[in-house]
Amino acid sequence: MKEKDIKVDFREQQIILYAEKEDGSLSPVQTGSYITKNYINDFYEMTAKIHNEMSEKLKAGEISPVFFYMTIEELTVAELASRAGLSKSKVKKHLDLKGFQKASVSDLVKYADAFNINIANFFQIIKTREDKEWDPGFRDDTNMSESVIISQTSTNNHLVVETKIFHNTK
Amino acid sequence: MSIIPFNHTMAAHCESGTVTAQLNFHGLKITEPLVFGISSGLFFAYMKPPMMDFPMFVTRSMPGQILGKFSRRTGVKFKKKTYKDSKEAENDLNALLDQNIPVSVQTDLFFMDYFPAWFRVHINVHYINIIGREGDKYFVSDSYFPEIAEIKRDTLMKARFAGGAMAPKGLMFYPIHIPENIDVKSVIKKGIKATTFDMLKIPLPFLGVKGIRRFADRITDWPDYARDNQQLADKILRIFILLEEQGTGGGGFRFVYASFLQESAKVLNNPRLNDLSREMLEIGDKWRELALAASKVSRSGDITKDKLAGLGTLIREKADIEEVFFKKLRKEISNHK
Repeated sequence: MKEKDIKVDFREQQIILYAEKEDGSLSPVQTGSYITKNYINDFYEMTAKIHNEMSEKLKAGEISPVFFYMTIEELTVAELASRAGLSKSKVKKHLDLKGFQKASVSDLVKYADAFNINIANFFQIIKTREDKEWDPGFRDDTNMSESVIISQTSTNNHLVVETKIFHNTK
Repeated sequence: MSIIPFNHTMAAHCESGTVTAQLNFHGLKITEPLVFGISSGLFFAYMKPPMMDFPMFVTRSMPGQILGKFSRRTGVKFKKKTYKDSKEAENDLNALLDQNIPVSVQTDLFFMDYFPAWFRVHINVHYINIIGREGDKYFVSDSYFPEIAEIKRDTLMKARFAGGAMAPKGLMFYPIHIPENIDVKSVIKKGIKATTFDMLKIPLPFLGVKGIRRFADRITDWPDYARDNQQLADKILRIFILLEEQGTGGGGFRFVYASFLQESAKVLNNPRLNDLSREMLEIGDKWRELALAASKVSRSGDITKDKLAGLGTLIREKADIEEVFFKKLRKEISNHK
């Protein structure tokens, strides 16, 4: 692999590859990520499709919010159980809506921590506009250049999140 | 603001990069390929762990082994500590930073929110160096990020105490003793011998060269594990990502290893290792061809058994050439006086 063959112009994601320089030495070369540059649109399309499918199923009551977040965060039942500190059989019960309704608040807190979301987002879908950058309930979207901003901030009460909706005046 | 003057550089791999940066900070001038090679980082394994819904392959040793083996072979001592109590972990981290000691920690990559969304997956073995703090945030030297990054205190704690497979348990480490005279020649030879053993001699069918063959044989089974064609396409694309882009230096660490052999040739004054470095470079190119072929199959949409069998053939070719290569390398290093 020669240095001149691996240079990819993509500032958004930089990686280090080891490549042969003209003098025959092998050295680290900082370059853009080929895969991200060429496949990022595929990634967004795939992610959006999975989100939409899961979102429709969630609204139809076919799956539980636990199943929704487990799928979009690419976790298995075993991995989620381990991360949440719950048994696999309990997690399996909570994947459908009927079982989810029997989950305790403390179970939900554990799931929310494992998914890194606010517990309130198990019970709501927040939509602002068609926007690839917006993952429901995952993060503050303070970098949007226009439109509405939804900011979710944790409070000292770990069961309550403050959701602010405001126009971006930047 | 308090940032320790730490030379932040990107690296091919997070564990070898983090350890190398720490060693350089503490005065031991060493390159990432030397750290990687001395600690026998090169490996191959193909398996289907019970916690995962899909088979996986790795092209490097188990997480944590680069640190452990480098330490054992060179005599560099690291202070290592895991925690049950996150508050204690945080207090220790802060106390060390306040003494201007950079601290390496193990994290779940998902929480490193300075990366774009597409890069962030739940993987519990991402190593970073914490090099300062201010108010509610920490400064991070991450081998995969071009600049010094910032992370909120709460987020870092979640990342250090994520549960699941290979949970970090708050692991932190930093060097506390570097011997004045490390016998570099001897540790290079030990590192190479161990790598050839790992690739050729471990009597388990999913490890080393045998693991590459198992990968070749079983890739045609992948549709049986997939939820749908889309997931299958995603998993096949990940062959490219795992070989080329996810912290390997390209070609599934084979280029880093070629660089290590090139450095070793100079240290051991053995030009034949230079020839073997050239061979490893060609092997890396072949792994790269496989990565590109996998990305094409993934993107084709129509993933047939024939196409997967074609990838299997390419993978089997790597097993054959690596078996020959590591036998030569083993012989060369055994004969070296």
